[in-house]
Amino acid sequence: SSTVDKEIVIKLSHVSSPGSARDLGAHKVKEIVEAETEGRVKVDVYPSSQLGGQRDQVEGVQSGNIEMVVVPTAYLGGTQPLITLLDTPFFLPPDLDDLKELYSSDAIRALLDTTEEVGIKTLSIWHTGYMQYSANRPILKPDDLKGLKVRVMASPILFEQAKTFGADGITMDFSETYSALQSRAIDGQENPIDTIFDMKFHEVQSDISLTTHGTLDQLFLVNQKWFESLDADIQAAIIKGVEEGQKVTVDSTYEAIERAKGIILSEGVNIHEVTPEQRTVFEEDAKPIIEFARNHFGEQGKKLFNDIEAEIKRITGK
Amino acid sequence: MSTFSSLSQKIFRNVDRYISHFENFVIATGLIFISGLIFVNVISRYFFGTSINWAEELARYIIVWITFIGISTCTRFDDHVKIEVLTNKFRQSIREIIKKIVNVVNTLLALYLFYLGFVITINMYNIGNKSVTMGMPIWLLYLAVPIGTFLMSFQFLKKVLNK
Amino acid sequence: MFYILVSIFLILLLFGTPIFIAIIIPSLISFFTTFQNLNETLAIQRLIGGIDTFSLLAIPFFMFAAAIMSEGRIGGRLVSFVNSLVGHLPGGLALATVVTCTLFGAISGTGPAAIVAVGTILLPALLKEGYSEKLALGTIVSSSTLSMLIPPGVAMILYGVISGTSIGKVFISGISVGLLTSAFFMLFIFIYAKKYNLPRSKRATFKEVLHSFIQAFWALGFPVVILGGIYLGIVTPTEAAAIAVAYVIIVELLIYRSLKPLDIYRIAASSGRVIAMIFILIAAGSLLSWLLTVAQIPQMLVSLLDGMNPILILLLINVIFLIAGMFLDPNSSIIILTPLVYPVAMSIGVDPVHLGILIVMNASIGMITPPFGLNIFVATGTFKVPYERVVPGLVPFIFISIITLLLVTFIPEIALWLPNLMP
Ligand code: NA
Ligand code: NA
Repeated sequence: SSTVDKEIVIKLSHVSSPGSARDLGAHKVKEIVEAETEGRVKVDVYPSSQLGGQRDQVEGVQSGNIEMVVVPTAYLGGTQPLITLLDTPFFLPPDLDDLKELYSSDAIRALLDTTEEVGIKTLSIWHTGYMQYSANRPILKPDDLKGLKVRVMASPILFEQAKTFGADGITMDFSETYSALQSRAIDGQENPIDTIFDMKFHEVQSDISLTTHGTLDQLFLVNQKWFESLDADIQAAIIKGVEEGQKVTVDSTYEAIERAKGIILSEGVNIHEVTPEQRTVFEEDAKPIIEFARNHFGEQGKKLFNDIEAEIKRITGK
Repeated sequence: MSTFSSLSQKIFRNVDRYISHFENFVIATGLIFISGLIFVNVISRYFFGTSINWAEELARYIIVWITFIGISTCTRFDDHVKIEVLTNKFRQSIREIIKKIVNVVNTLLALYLFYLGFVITINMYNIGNKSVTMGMPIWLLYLAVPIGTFLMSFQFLKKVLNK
Repeated sequence: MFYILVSIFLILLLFGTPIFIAIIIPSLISFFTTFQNLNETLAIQRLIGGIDTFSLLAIPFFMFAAAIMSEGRIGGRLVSFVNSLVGHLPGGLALATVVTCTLFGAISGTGPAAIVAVGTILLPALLKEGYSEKLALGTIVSSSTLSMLIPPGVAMILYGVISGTSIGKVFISGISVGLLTSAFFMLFIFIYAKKYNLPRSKRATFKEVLHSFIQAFWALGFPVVILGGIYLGIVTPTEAAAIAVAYVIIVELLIYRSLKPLDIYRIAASSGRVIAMIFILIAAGSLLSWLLTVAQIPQMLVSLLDGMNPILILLLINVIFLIAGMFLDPNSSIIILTPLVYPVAMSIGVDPVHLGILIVMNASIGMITPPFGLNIFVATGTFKVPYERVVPGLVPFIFISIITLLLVTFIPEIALWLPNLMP
C-alpha cells in the first residue's frame, strides 16, 4: 500500500441532472468507495455537465483531468466509434433480463475493451432505459415515421436508422430541441421515457410510442493509466462501487420510468403500446440497418458485431 | 547597419501585412461560410426534408477558429476589452511604462498559451480522436489555438518593441 | 492562495490588461498552486469547450446581420419608421428601444444578440436625437437582458432541465416577469425624460408615417421573417439568426443595392473581430468556472444557507447568484449553482417555477454587472465605446432590476399567476 497517507480525490462526472438515475448510481459509487477505503479516497460527484459537454467529458477522462465519467455510448463516437455498434436498432434484446445477461457476456466485454486502445478503461455499462419515439402522432409502424423530422444523436447508425425508416434524422443541440419541438421545427425525437420526462419533451409532444427500438446506455469510464496506478484494494473498491452503482441506476431508471409514465399520462399525453406483430414489421424493415452496422466498422467491427449477435441468439433463442 | 535595420523593418512590415490578410481571410470567409451553411441547412430541411448532419458541428468548430485567429487581429487594432479607469489617471510617461510592462506580460502569456496549445494539438494528433459527426480529426480544431496565440504573441511583441 | 489569485486578477484588471488575460493568468497559476493534479493543457480544453456550444452561435450571426444592416439602408429606414410613430413622446425613442428589445426577446434566447441587432440601429439614432450616451447605452444594454426573460430562453431551458421543472411553465412565468421588468425600465425612462426635458421630435403626420412605412417595407420584413420563421416552426432561434444574415444580405445587395459583395467580405472581417473579442471572454469565463467548480467554491457559498430562516434563504440565494453573476457567465452560474440551491429552496417550500424565474432574473442581471458582464463586453465591441463608459449608464437599470427581483422574491404571485392559469 502507498506510504503517503494523502487522501485521493476522485472527480466523478456525468451529464444528467441531480437525483436522476445516473446521479443516484454515481452517489452509490461514492458511498461504496469511500466506505471501503475507510476515508483514504474521496469521490466528488459533478452532475449536469458541470465539468463540460460531450467532448469535454470523454477528452477529460482520456487525459486524466477527470478520473471517472458516466457518459452515453454515443459520446464515444469520435473516440472509439466501435462502441456505437450498441446504437443499432432492433438488435439488442428488448427484454431487460436478457439485456443484463448480454451485458455480462464476453462478447460485450470484448467490445468495451476496445476503449483501451485510446487510453480509457470501461469498467461497466449502465443500462438507462430503452429508446422510445415521441412525436405528435403514434409511431406504430415504420411508415408512421415517413417524412417526419426526428432529432437523433450524432451517430452514423442512428442516421441510417432514420433514413431507412423514411424519416429525416436531424442533429440538434439539446438546448434547442425543446423549443424546436414546441415550434414544430422538428416533429419528434427518440429517448427513454424518463429522459423524455427530464428534458420536458412531453410538454411539447402529443404521443409517445413504446417502440423499444434501442437502448440509451451509459459507459462507466476511467482513465486507464490512473486506474492501473491505484493500489489493488482501491481498484477493488471502485469495481465493487461501480457494480453496486449499476444496480442502483438500473433499478431507479425503471422506477423513474414508471413514475414518468404516470405523470406524462396525467398530463394528457398518449402512450401507445407496440404489439408483437407491429414489432415484427419494424424488425423486418430494420434488417438493412443491422447489415449497415455490421459492415460499417471494418473487420474488427464485423467480428465484434457477429460475436454479440451470436450471444444474443444464445440468450434469446431467436 | 541602418540599411540593414530598415530592410528588416520592411520585411517585418510585409510579413505583418500578409499575416493580417490571412487573419482577415479566416475570419471573413469563416463567418460568411457558416452563415451560408446554416441557412442552406434550414432550406434543405424545410423544403427538401434532408439536413446536413455536420452543419452544426462544423459551424461550432469554425467559430473556434474565428475566435483564436480573431484575438490576434483584435490585438493588432487594440480592440480587447479592458478597464482603463485607473491607468488613465496616471501621467503620460508612467502610463507608457505600465503599458510596456502589461504588454510584456501579455506576450509571455500568449507564448505560454501557444506552448500549451501546441502540446495539446500534438497530443490530439497522436490520440487520433475524431469529431462525432464529420469524422474530422480533432487536432484540426485544437490547431486554432497554437496558430492564433502565436500570431497574437507577435502582435503583443510589436507593442513592446514599438518606440 | 485563493486571495492571492483574486488579487492578481484585480491588479491585472486595474492596470489595463485585456480582461480575458486577467482571467487566464491567475487561472493558469492555480494549476501550479492549487490544482497540481491537473494538467495545464486542460486550460486549452476548457477555453475551446466554452465556445464550442451551439446556442452561442446566435451571437455571431446577429452581430454579422446587424453590421450589414447598419452599413446598408435597412437600419436607417427602420429607425425612421419607429421614430415617426413614437418620436414625439417624452423619451419616445428610448421607450421605443425598450419595446423593440422586449419584442426581440421573443426571437432571441440569449442576452447579447439584441444589443447588436437593435442597438446598432438605435444607438446612433438616440445620440442624434440628443440623448446622452450614458442613457442611450444604459437603455440598450440593459433592455437586451429581457431576451433571457421573454421566452424562448436558453437560461430557462437550462434551469428546467437541471431542476426537473416544467420548461413551459417557466417560459410562461418569464412573460409576466419580463413584461414587468420592461414596464419598470420604461417608467424610469419616462420620468427621467420628463424631469430632464429630453428632446422630442415633432409629431409625424399620417402621411409621413405612411411614407416612412413604405420606405421601410423591406426593412420591416427583417423582424417579420425571423419571428415568422420561429413561430411557424421553420427555424430554431439559433438558425433564425443565420436566416437574418441571409435576409439582410439579399435585401442590401439585390433590392437596395446599397452594398457590393466585397463590402460583405469587409463587414464579415470586422464583425469577426468583434466576435473573437467576445468569445475569448466567454472562453476565459468557462475556464474560470471550471476551476471554481472543481475547487468546490460554489458548495462553500451554498453551505452558508444551512439552518437559515426561510425568508433569509431566498434573499441569500439571490445574493449568491448576484455575486456569481459578477464573475461568471450566467449559463455557467445556473449550471453550477442550481443543483446546489434547488434542494435547499424546496425544503422550505418554494415553488420550483418561482425559484426558476428568480434564478433567471439573477442571471439576466449578471449580464450587466461588472466586472464580468457579457452584455457590457458586447456593447464595448459593437459600439467601440470603452468599457468604463458603458458601465455608468447601467447603474439605474441594475438598481431597477434588483428592485423587481425583490418584488418577485416576496410576491411569488407575480411569477406564478400566469403559469397557474395553465392546465
Ligand atoms: Na427570449
Ligand atoms: Na456580471
